[in-house]
Amino acid sequence: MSLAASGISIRFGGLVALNNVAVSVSLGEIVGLVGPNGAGKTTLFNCLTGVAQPQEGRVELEGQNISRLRLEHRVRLGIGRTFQTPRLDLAGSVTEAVMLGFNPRLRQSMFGACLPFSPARKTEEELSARARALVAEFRLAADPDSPAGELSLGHLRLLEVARALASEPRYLLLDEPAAGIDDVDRDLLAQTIRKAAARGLGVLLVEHNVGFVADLSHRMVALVSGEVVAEGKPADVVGDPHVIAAYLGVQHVAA
Amino acid sequence: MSRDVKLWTAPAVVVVGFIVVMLLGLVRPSLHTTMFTIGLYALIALPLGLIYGQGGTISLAQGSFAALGAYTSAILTTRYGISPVLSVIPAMLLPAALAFVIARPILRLPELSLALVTLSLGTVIAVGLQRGGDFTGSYVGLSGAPPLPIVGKNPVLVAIALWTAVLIVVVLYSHFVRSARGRALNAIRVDRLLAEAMGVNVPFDLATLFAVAAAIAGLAGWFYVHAIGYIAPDSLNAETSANILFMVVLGGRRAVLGPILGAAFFTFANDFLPGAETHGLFFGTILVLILLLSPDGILSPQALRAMRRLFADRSAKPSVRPAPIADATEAVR
Amino acid sequence: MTHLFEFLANGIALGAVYALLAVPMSVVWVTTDVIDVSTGGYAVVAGMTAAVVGMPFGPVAGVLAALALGALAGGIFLGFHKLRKQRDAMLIVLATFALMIAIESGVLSGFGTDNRFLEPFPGALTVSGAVITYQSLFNLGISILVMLGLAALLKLSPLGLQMRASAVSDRAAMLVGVAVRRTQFLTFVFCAGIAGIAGVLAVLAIGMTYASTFIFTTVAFSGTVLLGRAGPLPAFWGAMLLGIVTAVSDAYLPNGWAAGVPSLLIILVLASGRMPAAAFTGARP
Repeated sequence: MSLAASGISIRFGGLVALNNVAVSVSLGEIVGLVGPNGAGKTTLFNCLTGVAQPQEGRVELEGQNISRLRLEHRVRLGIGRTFQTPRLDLAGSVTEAVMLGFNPRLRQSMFGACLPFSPARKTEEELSARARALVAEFRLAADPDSPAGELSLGHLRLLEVARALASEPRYLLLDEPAAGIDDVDRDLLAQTIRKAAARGLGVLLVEHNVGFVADLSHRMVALVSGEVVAEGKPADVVGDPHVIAAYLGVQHVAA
Repeated sequence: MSRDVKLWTAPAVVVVGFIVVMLLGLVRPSLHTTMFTIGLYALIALPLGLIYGQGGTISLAQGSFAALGAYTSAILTTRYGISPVLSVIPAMLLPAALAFVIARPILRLPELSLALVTLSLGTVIAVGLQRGGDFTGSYVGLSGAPPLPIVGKNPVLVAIALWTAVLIVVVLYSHFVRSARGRALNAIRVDRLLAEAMGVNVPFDLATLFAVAAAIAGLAGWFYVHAIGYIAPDSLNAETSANILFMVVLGGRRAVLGPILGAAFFTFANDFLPGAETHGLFFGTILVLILLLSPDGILSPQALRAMRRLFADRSAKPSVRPAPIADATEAVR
Repeated sequence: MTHLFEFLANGIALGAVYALLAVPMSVVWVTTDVIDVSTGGYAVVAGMTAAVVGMPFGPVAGVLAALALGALAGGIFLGFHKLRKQRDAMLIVLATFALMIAIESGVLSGFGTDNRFLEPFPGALTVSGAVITYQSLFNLGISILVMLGLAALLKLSPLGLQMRASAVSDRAAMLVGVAVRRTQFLTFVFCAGIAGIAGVLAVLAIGMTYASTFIFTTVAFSGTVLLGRAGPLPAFWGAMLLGIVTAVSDAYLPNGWAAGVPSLLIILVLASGRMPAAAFTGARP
């Protein structure tokens, strides 16, 4: 049971962003996607989630071809993702931001949402409680009703992860979740990812911090200039000469 | 309980405000007609508040949809002898259907194009109504529409009927924004990609809300033509749509009561300003200033939060306690 | 056949005036991401002023008035960028909409509801049975001159270079030292001037009332988007095409329906999805 992309090639004008790339993540597995800037990691994410349409290749979710499906459809099928730059309503409260994450699993009609004494009201209370629990679990804010705009970048990233988890996805795609987070929160993030995988989620994460990813992943994929140059156990990928060459000049500290 | 209070604040304000003004109307009967005007505008403006304030999408066709509703009912009642009780349904459905059909292809594009297309739609509808010959009464319009059922022409009863409709819309609106669908709409305004990443079918949701807004505008048109007795192309048109937008922006697009406040301001200002020609100067200038200084209007989220803090200090605020923080050395933010 | 030729000629003359409305709107749009809804207002103010002042100084006074209003719009634009951290073009577009309302009201208050016009050039020539007025030829000539001048400005002058840089990406332009805000302000001003010329030509050729404000803006926008691409050249051809379509519709459609043509085209072009979404959001760094 996996989310798999195969033969993905995508061009933007004259630029080849991805060339015959294949990547997959199985339930319960943590896969780390690394590569220098501009390698095409986010583009690959976009192809997996339906934000970008590759010219060639296909994306399959547990055997079902989802290449033609739009993002919101794939999300409802159980794929959750975060974005490189946090996207949320900064004016709303932290709790409300997390509550948005429950949407993919909800089947609420417009009609039911308006009515005063409908099940929607009960749902609101439950969701609010669950969201507050998540806010506490991730230590996002002392006051869950404070505006989301008051959070630091690190906490915004954690909020995105919490929100993505709220939709109870089967596959979680994290786009640089650790960037800008301090050590304490990074450990919390690593812990969260491990717990999620232990519960059966397939996690695919893009990260610059190679040490962080190597420590965490069951498997790693290295992407350079739109092509997969190495794949396999973290130790092998990290030691791969192509990968080292691509990262030449960048020190990575063994975690 | 605090959650329930939030849901019913706006409707409560509407009820209290209505009663107060109607009582004042006993001393000054013209207030009853003024309430009718404000109520009409409020009915047309509230859905725009939802679409724009929550959804970030501007429609400049609300006035024209009201006109469509009015004309539909006028034609059905005067030409075909159908009772107003029945004609209200097509008066609401026709604008809704048109809105939905137009919206689907447009809504793939960002908000700016919808705004301009809806403005153009108003022009096309106006031209159609003017060129409609005897069917639509051409430039003169249609007269002789039967009065509203039950309440007839009694200004007090008509105002009560109209504001009952306004109240229902306010209740539905208040509940909608505090629901998952309401959050989804808000997400559309903030960032479309975010909304999609949360499983929201953006074009469908926007088109549906657009259609609902058109339906409610059509209802307002129905009220208009049967309370006043006639409808002309100039009664409800693109200028009306522009005024409605002004009301929403001024009153506060993010607050349920915002459009109603804007409608009240607009109506009273119209009554007190000298000379109809200069109104545009006045409203245009105010609109520019509001957009520059407080784009969320008078009842902006900041203003509302400040008001809530004033009240929250005096009442106990129950809240779910988060689990105790394990790391005691962590600084409190 | 001569009739069709005459309608085409009328259409081109009309298109010439429309071009002077659509092109400035598109230039402002491409340079600032803002659709200046008050474009029609500049034209009407210029035309009305010209009609009231009369020849020979009327046209000059009219264009000056338009330039002044353009400066007002530019000032509002700058105000938005100074005051707000989030650069939501929609708010500024709404502000130009408010400005149009104010201008229309000002014109109504100042000039009343009468239809105003200036005496056009007398006479006409007849080409294969079709009557073409000298005024139409004059309008076409002026329009082409202005277009050439604008092209020269954009391609050859430093201001033109700065405008094009701002159009591609205002942030990038700022980084390389272009005075972006000042350039954008000037763009508002002289585009208003071009619209003012349109107004003067219109008051000579067809006359106008305060209600022409909204009509001219609709025409401007219709010409701007008709060919599905943002930019002065598509706007020019779009306006020409619009002029021809309007003139032909006016001749062949039942009376009065032609007034809806520009609006209908806007709906059709945008609904068909041919206008790329990127045109509405501008370049993102």
